[in-house]
Amino acid sequence: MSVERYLDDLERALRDVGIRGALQRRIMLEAEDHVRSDPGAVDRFGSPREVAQLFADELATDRSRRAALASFAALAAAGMFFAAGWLLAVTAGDGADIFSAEIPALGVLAALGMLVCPQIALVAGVLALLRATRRRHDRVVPAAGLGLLLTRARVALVFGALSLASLALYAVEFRAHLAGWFTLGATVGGAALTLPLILTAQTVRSAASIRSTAPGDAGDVFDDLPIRLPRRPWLLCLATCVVVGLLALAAGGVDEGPRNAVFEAVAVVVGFVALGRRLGLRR
Amino acid sequence: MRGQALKGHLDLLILAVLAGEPLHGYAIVDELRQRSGGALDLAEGTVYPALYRLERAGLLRSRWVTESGRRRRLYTLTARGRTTLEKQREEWRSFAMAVEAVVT
Repeated sequence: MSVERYLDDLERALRDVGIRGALQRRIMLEAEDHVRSDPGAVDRFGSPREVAQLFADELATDRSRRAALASFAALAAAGMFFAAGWLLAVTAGDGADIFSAEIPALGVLAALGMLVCPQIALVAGVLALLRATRRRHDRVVPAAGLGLLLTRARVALVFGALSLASLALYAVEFRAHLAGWFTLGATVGGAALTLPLILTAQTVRSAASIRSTAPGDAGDVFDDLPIRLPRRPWLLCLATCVVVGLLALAAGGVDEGPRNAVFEAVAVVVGFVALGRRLGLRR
Repeated sequence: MRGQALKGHLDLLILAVLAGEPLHGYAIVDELRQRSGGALDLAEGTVYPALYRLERAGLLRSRWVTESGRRRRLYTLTARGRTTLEKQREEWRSFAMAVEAVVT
């Protein structure tokens, strides 16, 4: 094969696996220097498709791990802001009920969003972090496993943004019952902290654009946990319901505890059914 | 030695070759072949993903140079790369001794 033909095939193969821009240019320059170094080098370099795929498999692994870690960092900042907002809402408000919003339906939506979205963001974000750290020494992670990692990161980012939006909506809809500084802080701060989430979503998208074909199973949460548990997803769901229910019961006291415990346990089951397969909680 | 068997040791081999002096990709492959008397045989392009990975991990750094009118990328071992090389050399020696003790 001629050097020119080889380089054309390599460029096309790199593009096919999603490697473009500065990295593609660097790979092409180095490959060209190598295959022009002696007459037989082009035949010893390896098939363009195989070389491109090797790059893609390793690059996808590295970028996906980094994207998941970046997502968790952005979510941690958003999460701390949300938690502060949640706690301050008590001191900044006059104890108005959930139907006292400017538009009652939006007030209920905001309250529900504030209850549900952060929990989904937390679970998905922790699952992404678990996988990224458990696989940090793997040279190549199976493509299916990377897909699961990036799905967890995406779900976490989306629900993180929805959490901030719910807090801002709450602040706006209940502004008649809240201190002015709270409404301003929740909306401006929420908008500001959504930016890192959006930027991180771009790195997730960039990682997903590299087409790995590394063989292997996606695995699930039981492969990501640091301790070995029996591979029984519904038992894990039940255990989570019990733990979350008990925490809600303790936090809510005699008056609100039982109601909150039931709500949280039902939310765990609904979340497990709706998102369990997507997040790799069950196969 | 079959290419597949090499894959698991490629990082160590690259770090060992670069311990002596900075080299570009073609020279690394050539050095590997010469030092092993031709026993180490792999598709030469497979060295580059490994080089990029080792660089991202902070074990190597690289820069463009111009030699004989051609631009080439020169790779150098970092301090962290040297430490990792020493550690992997020890691990390899222990492994090789253990296998030798069993098979002979």
